[in-house]
Amino acid sequence: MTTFRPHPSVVSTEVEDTIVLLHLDTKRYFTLNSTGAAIWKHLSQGKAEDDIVSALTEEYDADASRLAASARRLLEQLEKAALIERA
Amino acid sequence: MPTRYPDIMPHRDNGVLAERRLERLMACLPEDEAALAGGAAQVEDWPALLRSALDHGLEDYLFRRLIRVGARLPEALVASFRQVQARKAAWTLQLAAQLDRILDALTAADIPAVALKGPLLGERLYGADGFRSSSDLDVLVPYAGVRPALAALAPLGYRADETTLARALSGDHNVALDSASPPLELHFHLFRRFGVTLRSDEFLARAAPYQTRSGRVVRILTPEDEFLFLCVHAAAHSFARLAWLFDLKLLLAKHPALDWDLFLQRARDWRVTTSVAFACALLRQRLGADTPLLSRLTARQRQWLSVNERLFDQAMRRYNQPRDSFSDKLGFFVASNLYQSSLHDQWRSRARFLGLTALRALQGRSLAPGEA
Repeated sequence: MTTFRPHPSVVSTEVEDTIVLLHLDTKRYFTLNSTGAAIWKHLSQGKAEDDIVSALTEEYDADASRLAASARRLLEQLEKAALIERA
Repeated sequence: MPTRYPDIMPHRDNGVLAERRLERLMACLPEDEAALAGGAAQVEDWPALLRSALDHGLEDYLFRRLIRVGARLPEALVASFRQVQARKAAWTLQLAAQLDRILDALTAADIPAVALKGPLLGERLYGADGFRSSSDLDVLVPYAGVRPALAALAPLGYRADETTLARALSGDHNVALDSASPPLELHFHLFRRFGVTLRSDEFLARAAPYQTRSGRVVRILTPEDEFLFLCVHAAAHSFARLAWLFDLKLLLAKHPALDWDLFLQRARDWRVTTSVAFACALLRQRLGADTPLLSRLTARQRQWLSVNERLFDQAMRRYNQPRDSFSDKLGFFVASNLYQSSLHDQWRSRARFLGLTALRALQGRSLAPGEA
């Protein structure tokens, strides 16, 4: 089971239903939409990828396999941008 | 009457009508959402309003509230606002993270420090309703602590050469450190303007602990001191940003039990009553926020306040007109400096300011910070 955590140099802030992430080393920033924001919150709580998908399935009226695919895509992007790292 | 703000934002285009609209909308906030919705229904030029709100540092707070009350904003404008908002969020994160590092460094060096304005004021006053506009960070340390503070901040990249430092220490209230980002203004006096110096020691001694949202305990000015500082700061910059008056309005809302007798006494002691009273008068005029201060002024002070207002309006009127000819430029120069001098508490200080201004103009120089 893969668990990620925010990169130590990343700070975040909620902006209404989105979250803005800033990498303090690169000064690059990213905006997560509401689903991405939900994933980020779960991830920040230390949940593993499977648990994040389970939580999303409860929160959103959507197909679990689609949510799992969305979560996987986002986690890959976040990891590639060095916004998260494996715990 | 057009009363566009003068002095420090020469890049602005002429957005007087949008600026008046902005004032009327901000006067509804933070509490009257029904009035805000009513005001929003009368807005015809949304892009101009957004530009004006950006100029005045209020776009995030205002447009969040407009969206919340269901104002019918053009989609393209909302998209544009969202981009601005994300950039501002990222910048605020950067400011906040750097402020933490700065305060940590100063604490480790055992230097008392107080964060002024900036993201911390935004957190306390704006809360979840928006990000406060800040272009840099401001931190107050004791006058005697400047050099140790610079040594403590050097690992963060903040440096000042000896000439700059000596010039700042002799005439200014802060040393501007822009060798790292975000830039830092290291204050060793709270402020220096209108012929007086608000020395740091007393304000630092009274500073109160505050626990930030992230759980860190920092020191901030007491509400009375903060109100005084924000008034003097806004007056020194000719109230060029409506956000500076709105900060005062939010501070009043947060501290309804402000000790006005104590406040007035401190303003008298520091000889900044005139600038503070004028800030309160503009706060009422532009944002509809009343303070008990104005009713506590003497008859003579109230008379002088009307002189301030007339001179301010004169300066604004001339500022808003084209100034192509020499006589137009001279008229604005005289009006703006008479207005500035009128904010000094004492005649001697007013005369000195005007004399120095005239002398420096003849020399082709501007006033040094300590001369204002």
